[in-house]
Amino acid sequence: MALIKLSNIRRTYQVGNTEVRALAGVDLSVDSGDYLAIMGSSGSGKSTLMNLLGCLDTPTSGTYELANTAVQELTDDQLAALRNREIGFVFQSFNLMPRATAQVNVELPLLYAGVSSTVRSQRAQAALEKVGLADRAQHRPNELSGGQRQRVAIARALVNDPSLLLADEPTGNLDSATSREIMTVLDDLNAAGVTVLLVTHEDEVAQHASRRIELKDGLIVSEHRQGWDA
Amino acid sequence: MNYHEAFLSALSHLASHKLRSALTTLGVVFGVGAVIAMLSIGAGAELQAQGMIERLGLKNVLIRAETLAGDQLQEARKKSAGLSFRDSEAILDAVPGVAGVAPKVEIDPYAIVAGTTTAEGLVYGVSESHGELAGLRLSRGRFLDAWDVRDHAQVCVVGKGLAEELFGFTDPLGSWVKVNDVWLRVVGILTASGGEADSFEGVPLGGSSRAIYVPVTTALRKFDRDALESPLTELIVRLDEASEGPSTARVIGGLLERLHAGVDDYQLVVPEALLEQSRRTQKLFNLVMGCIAGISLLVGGIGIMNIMLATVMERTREIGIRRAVGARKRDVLVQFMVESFTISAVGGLAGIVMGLLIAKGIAASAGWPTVVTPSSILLATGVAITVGLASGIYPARRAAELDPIESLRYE
Ligand SMILES: Nc1ncnc2c1ncn2[C@@H]1O[C@H](COP(=O)(O)OP(=O)(O)OP(=O)(O)O)[C@@H](O)[C@H]1O
Ligand SMILES: [Mg+2]
Repeated sequence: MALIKLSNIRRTYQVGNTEVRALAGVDLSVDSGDYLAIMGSSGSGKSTLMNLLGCLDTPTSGTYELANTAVQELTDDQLAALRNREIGFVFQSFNLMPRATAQVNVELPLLYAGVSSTVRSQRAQAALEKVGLADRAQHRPNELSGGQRQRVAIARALVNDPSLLLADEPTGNLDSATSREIMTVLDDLNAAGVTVLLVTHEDEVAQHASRRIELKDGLIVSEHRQGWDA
Repeated sequence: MNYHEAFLSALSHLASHKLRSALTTLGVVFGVGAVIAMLSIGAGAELQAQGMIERLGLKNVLIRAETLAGDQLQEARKKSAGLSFRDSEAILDAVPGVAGVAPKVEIDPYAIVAGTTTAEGLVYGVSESHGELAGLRLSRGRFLDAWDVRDHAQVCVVGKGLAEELFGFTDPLGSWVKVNDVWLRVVGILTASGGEADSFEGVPLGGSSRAIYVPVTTALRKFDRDALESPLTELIVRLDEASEGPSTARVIGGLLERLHAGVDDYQLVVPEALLEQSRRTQKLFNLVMGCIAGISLLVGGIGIMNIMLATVMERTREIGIRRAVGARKRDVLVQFMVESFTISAVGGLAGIVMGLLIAKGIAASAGWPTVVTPSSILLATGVAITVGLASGIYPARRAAELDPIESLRYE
């Protein structure tokens, strides 16, 4: 069953008098439980695509169905609710709140889901435990290593049990050993049934996915499935 | 996110920027402090004015003889004899709504002696109804009565302050006091009178603490007076409950004008009108102080807005993160509104404390009476909250309208 269905998605930016076509007609279907790597050179439109998939941005034209809902018909508040319940984000630059502890950062999505504070703290604890950081709950981001910060970000992304995890170059700022740590966490999540979409430049990282697409100038130019051993 | 949580998070954010938050609240602190202090001065002055008017008697109209001298006096006396019993009888007979008229004569005392003690004071000749009309209260003994007045009795009632000074610990009742060269027996002692001030809006109040009251007949007969001087110094006209001061005063004015052949040797004082006048002065004072407080609050509000705009800018990325994990525009709006509200609420509380201190300080140093009323605290709190909300709305809206993607990319 298709969780995501994109058809003929275009996204153009108006910069001065010129039009920048970040996405030039993308068709894509992703099944529930898929593990998809998005590759492509810089400026090919990967982040633009991720933002659209994450309901942070709206396409200039085309349709996007997420779990059989036509996203372009939703109101701003409904989009926020969708991001809150169905989607988890992991960014290249972690995007944690610098003054808040790991615990508070992880609780953030639950705050907007209206979860009571005791349940919030339990679920944040559980999420931190899943990424192996139960003992760092009271640390602030600047007291954590890069890999640990990204694991806090992953804990935040999965604390609301989303059906879709979007990771835009999650290992882009990390060394290869730490990258492997992060990828193990993502692999485990996918194994547990979460659909994972991941942008990367590195072949080694893309190997973890079961399916890989390549973007060029805002279009999907190649797509193939790969075995775990490939 | 509910308001309770938003409030807690605002508090913790403000606590993490203590100095900045404290400086931001200052405008509101001073504004609210000024409002409370100003209103306390206003309320104190109002209370004082009311007290003084009560001493004059709100239901009285006073007619005072003008103090004239030299040629002016000579001229006036050619046509008019000054304020006299003729006036008092005419008013009682001809003016409707008058319940009673009490004459008063001021005597110039060059010596007040009891035993070996001398003191300075004021000496008035009054009728038996004066005590009630002027609101004098006895602590001991009796007031002058009709027989004292009829018989030119050499008795007196003494104010508390003067009695203590003249007699010390010995009982003044029944003792003798000599005023100029007239011996008077003390028959009554007054309680301490209300305020210390002895004039209001330019009208002497005849403070009773240092006064000696003698029968008006005694005053006229036993004490030497200048022949050209007005026979009476004052008439207190008591109006009945139904009649109005200003309109009755006009009728009395017309009557006196005829009796005095148009000579302006008297002055009509209507306490009701004085009160009105003092209220007008007070209103002006309140307006000026209100403007100052208003400007201070405006500056405070602008300060809060300024800091909130800077905060929103500084936390653009945080706003992007919150939006990405599911915050609605409204959630972001509420977060920043609550923050600016909290700043002004804290400032308001501090301002109330400061206002109370200023009011106390003014009362202690300048000697003005100040009264902090609950309504002034309520008003100041309301103003502080309004300032917080008004100055927060624009920055908060700006935060809510930020584009999530742009915010996440913001450096
Ligand atoms: N806000 C914007 N305004 C104008 N042009 C934009 C904007 N965002 C992206 N673009 C343009 O759209 C194109 C795609 O950008 P995008 O960020 O999706 O690339 P990317 O594949 O993620 O690149 P990288 O690998 O460097 O992250 C680029 O040419 C970029 O300049
Ligand atoms: Mg990118």
